[in-house]
Amino acid sequence: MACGHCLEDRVASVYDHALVERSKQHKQTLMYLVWDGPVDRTAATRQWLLKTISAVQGVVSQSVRVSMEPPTIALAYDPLHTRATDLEKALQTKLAAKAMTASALPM
Amino acid sequence: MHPPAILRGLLAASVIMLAACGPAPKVVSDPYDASKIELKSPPATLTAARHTGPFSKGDSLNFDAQLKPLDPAPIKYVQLDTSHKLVEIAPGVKFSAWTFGDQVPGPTVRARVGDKIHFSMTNRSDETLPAMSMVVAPMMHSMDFHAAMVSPQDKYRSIAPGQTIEFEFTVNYPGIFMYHCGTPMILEHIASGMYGAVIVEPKEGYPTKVDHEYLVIQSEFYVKPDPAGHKVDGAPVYVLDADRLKAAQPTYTVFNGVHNGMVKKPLVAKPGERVRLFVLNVGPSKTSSFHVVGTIFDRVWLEGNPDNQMRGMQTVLLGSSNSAIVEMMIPEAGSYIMVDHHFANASQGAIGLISTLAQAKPADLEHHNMEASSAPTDPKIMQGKMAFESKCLACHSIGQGKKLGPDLAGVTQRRKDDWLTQWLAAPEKMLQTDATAKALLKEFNNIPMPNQGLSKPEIAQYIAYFHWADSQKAGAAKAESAH
Repeated sequence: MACGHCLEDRVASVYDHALVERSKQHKQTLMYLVWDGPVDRTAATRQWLLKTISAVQGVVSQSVRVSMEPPTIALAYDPLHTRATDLEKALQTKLAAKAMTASALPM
Repeated sequence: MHPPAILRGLLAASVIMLAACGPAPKVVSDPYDASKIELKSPPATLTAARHTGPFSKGDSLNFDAQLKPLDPAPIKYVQLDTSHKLVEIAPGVKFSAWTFGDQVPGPTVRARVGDKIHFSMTNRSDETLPAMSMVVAPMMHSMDFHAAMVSPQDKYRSIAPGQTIEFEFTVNYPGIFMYHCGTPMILEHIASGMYGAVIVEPKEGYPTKVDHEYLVIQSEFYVKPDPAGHKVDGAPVYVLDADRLKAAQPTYTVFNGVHNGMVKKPLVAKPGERVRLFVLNVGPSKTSSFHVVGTIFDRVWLEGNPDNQMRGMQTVLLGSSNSAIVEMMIPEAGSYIMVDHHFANASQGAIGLISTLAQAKPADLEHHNMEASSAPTDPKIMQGKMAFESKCLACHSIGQGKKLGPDLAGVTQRRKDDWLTQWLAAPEKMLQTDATAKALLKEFNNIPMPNQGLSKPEIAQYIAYFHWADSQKAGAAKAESAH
């Protein structure tokens, strides 16, 4: 297993139990996304992703988790104030700056 | 009506040709024919109902090297929950492990071809003790049975803490099969202890009779003292060393989860008895040349399947996740030493005994293994020990005699720290100017000590380790009279 393509594998790569518990407590929703693009899988790219995604409106502060392999993102948002589709679009716009893509995993 | 003459002639010729070919080949039934293999299994179920109580249950489970006879039930109910716990992999080395069934290796499932395995697992990684929660967080886990033929996306999916997965499969091939966690990063999950074995017997049983059956699982540990300095019950906690793991440089290579474990608790056999070992090399990254000193493998069934038979073998080569059943006679009274004949692995703890004696003696060991009666707990000394064991053992020993270079037992009494520091930093310079260094070169057949490119902190770690080794009780580090 651990092919990296299965939904659960991707979730596992960014799974943070404390974040899951905190999100439940604050009635926030977790979104998992696959990212891709012509970038090196380096610590610098990871830092850029963390910083860029954290700055997107609607993303809960300190909730972003990034895996380079498999390339996956986890973040929390408040469904009362943010729609998942709007958040996904906003992320796609930001990542497009480096010709990167992001698409939400079906949960 | 008779056929025309030309046809009669052809018919006669065919009969003659067939007769010339001898008797028709006997049709042998293929036990692995698709019609005899059960590939159907119901979809896995995932629930939030969690198991409580013991972390493993099932009549077919075995918990150590000694194997119980096969449980005859055609359906084996197997519960193996995941846990995070400290396990002592060497004296004083308490490792933050991730487990199946709360032990490393996980319990062994024993079944027969055609049996169904009904498996259930709760991810209980969120049930760790408060002290452990500082070291490791709950995480997703999964189960991958090499004995099964099922959709990995259905049965081997990762589950979150608190979830329970259940599925069923039929075992179709005899063998010794690995099971392991398959959740990313898979290498970390296996190296943290999430593995075990499923033994599947042929439908008719094995073709030979033996007096003893034992399981030997070889695996590697890659550990370092917790950089955050966490302690449990006053003792330092060891955590996974990701750098060593990626470089495939184990700290310990062990049988059944413990450094030299089966030296202290030898497997028992009497002279004239026949022993069957079920050997699985988990890895995750090293190959095993499994050998038993003092006997010959009468039969080797590669992957544990009697259809893959070899006779009279000295060693069986097992890659990661390869297995074999080896059978041998115990010829006379003595202790027969199980080793990985890649002796770098044996020196890290892949060693054990099959003994006709009640208690094995340390003297039974070949001179390939370091005594593990005590281990340093100071992180600096531990680093020095790990560095010594990975870089120096090819040429040096501590208390085991000369090799290509001197026995380093007592080296801190023979040399001052300044001398050792200079020697480790630039041996080539010392060989030009220092009389002792020149004498050493002459004594050891002009084989120079290579410059290892060590940093000052690394040199300090080596010297701290040498001091520690010299402070151990007599016998733990026997000094060779040298320079």
